[in-house]
Amino acid sequence: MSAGKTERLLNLTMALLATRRFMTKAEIFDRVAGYTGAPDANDRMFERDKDDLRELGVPLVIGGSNQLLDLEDGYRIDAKAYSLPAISFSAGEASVITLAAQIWREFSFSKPARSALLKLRASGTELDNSELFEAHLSAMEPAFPNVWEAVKERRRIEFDYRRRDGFVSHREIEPWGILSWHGAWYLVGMDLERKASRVFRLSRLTSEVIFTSIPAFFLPPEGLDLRGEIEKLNNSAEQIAVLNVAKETCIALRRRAHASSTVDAKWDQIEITFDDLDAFTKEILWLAQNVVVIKPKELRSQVIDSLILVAQ
Amino acid sequence: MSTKNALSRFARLLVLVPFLQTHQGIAVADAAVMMGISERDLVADLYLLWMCGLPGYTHLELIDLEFEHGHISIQNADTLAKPLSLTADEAIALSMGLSLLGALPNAGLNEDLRSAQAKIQAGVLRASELAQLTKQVAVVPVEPSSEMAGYLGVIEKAMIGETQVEIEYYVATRDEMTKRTIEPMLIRLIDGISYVEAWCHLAEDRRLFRLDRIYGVRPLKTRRSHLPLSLPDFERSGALVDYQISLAPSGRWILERYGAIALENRKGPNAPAVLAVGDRNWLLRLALSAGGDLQVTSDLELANEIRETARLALANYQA
Repeated sequence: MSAGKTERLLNLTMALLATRRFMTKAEIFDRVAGYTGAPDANDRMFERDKDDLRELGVPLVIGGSNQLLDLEDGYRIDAKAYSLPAISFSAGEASVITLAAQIWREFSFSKPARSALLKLRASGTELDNSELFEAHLSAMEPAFPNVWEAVKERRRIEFDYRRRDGFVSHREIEPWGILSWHGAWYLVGMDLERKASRVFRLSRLTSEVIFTSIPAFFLPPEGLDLRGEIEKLNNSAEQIAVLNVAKETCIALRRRAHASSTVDAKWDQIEITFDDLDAFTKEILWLAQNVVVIKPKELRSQVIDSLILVAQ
Repeated sequence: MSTKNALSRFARLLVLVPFLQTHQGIAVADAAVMMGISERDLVADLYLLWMCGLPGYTHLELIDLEFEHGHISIQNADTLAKPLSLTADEAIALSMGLSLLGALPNAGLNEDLRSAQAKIQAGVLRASELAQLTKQVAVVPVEPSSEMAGYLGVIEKAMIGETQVEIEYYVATRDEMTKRTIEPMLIRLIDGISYVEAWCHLAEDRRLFRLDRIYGVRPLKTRRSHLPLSLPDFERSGALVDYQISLAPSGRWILERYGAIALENRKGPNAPAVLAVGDRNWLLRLALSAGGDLQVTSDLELANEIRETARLALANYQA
C-alpha cells in the first residue's frame, strides 16, 4: 500500500514533468499508473498527492489545458523551476560546502543539510571532505525544534523563562528570529506583555514551547537585525578594566595588558580591554584569589556576586 | 510503512534517479554509502524504480535499470535527469554553515565561502522565502583577534607542509605559560570556539589547544612524525576520575561543553550529573567560574575547598 503510494507519486511526477500541456484530472486517472480506485477514492487520493508534492517543494502549476476547448483545469510541473540549475563549484567551494553541511549534528538543520548535499552530488558536483578543518555547532536545547518551527512559520509561542537571576516568568512571544551567539542559541522576538523586543537564551526556557497562533500570524520588522539586538544586550562595546593581579600569577592577563604598574610587594596593577562581560567574568573567576577587579563597577559587582554564590 | 515514510522515500528517489545518471556504473555498496542508506534499502528502491516510468508503461517508457552484477546503470530516465531545486530549509542549513566557517580566519577560504554562498542561493526554488528566512536566523561565532588570525595562518601552513611548530600555550588550570613543539593536524571550530588538534611533544600525546590561549607561534622546519588519525572528541586526557555534580539550569551548558552525563532528574531545578575529570584543580576552577551553577556533590573535601577559595577571593574585596 505505501510502496504503492511512493510508486504512484513518482509516476505522477514523471508524467506531469514530461507533459507539455496541462493534464486534466480525468487524463491523470486514465493514464498515470496507480489511480485504480473508484472515482471518489481517486479524487481523494489525488488531493493528498498534490499536498505531498507541494510539501516537498515540487512546483505544481494549475491552468486551463486549452482555453477554447477545455473548461476543466489541468496540472503540470514547471520543469525549469523543478530542476536544480547546473551549478559548477570549484574544488575550494565544494570543500567549504561539504564542511558547512557537516556542522550540524543531531539537530534540526542536519537533515536538510544532508539532503542538500545529496542533491548537489546528484547533479554531478564532486564533493570532498576537507582534511584541515572541522566545524561543529550543537543545539541540544530541548526548546530548539519548536522555536525554529515557530520562527519559520511565524507563529506565536508561549513558555516559562528563567532569568539569569533565577526569576521565572511566563512569556508570550512573536518569535522574529534565532541566533547562535558565541556558541549559545538565543531567540529574539516581541514580548507581547511588555510590548517590546526581548532576547531569550534558549537554555533558560524551562517549560515546553506551545504554539498560540496559526502560521503566518505576524511579520518580523523590516530592518530586523538579530546581531544588533544581542549586542545591545551584551553591551559588547570594548571596555577597559583595571585589575590588581598577584605577583607571578595571571600570566595570560598580563600578556594581554596594555599598561602595568607595581602596587606593593604582593600586587601589580594592569589595564586590559575586554568586550564580552560574561566571558571576561568567567576568566577572572577562574583565577580565584589572584585577581581583584578595581574597575569597571559592572564587572566588579558581577565577580563579587558570583563569588558570594560559590562561597555559600 | 507510514505515509510519512512513503513521502520521505519518494523524496529520496527523486535524488537517487539523477544521482545514478551522473554516476553510471557505480557499485551498489558505494551508492548506498553516498545516499546514506543500507544496501538492502537501496536494492529495494531499485526494484521499485523498475516499476516506474511515463504513461504507457511499456519497456519504451519504463525506467531501465541494470544492477545484477553489483554495479548500477540506468537508462530511460531523462524526465528525472535533474534533482529538485534546493528548498529554503536546505539552503539555510548550508548557508548558516558557511557563515559559521567565516570565523576561520583564512583569506583563501573566505573567498570560497562567499562564492559558494552566492551559488547556493542561485539553486533555491523560492528565493524570496530564503531571503526572508535569511534575515531570521544568524550565526555569530567568537571573532578571532588579528593575532589569533596570524597564528592560525602559520599553523595552517604547517598543516599543509606537514611540518612542526613551536607554540607558547597558556595552561589555564595551572595559570602557567608553556612552550611546546606540536604537529598540528586539524583545526576544529566547536560551538564558536576554535581549537587546534595536534600531536604534542611535551605531553607525548594528542591534545586539543584552544586558539585563544596560544600566545605565540614559531614555524619549524622539522617534518611531522605522527599521522593525523581521526579520534573521537577529547579535551582533557590522562587518567579520568568521575565526579558527581549538580547543575543549576543556567549551568546546563557544562553538560554539553565538557561532555558531562546527566543523571535521572529528580524534583527540583538542579540536575545531577557525572563529569569525568583529569585534574582536580581544573574542576575547582571550573566551579569558581560557573559562579554557583555547579556544585560538587561526591567529594565534600573538594566542595569545601571550592567554597574556601571563593571566600579567600572575596576577602580581597573587603580589605
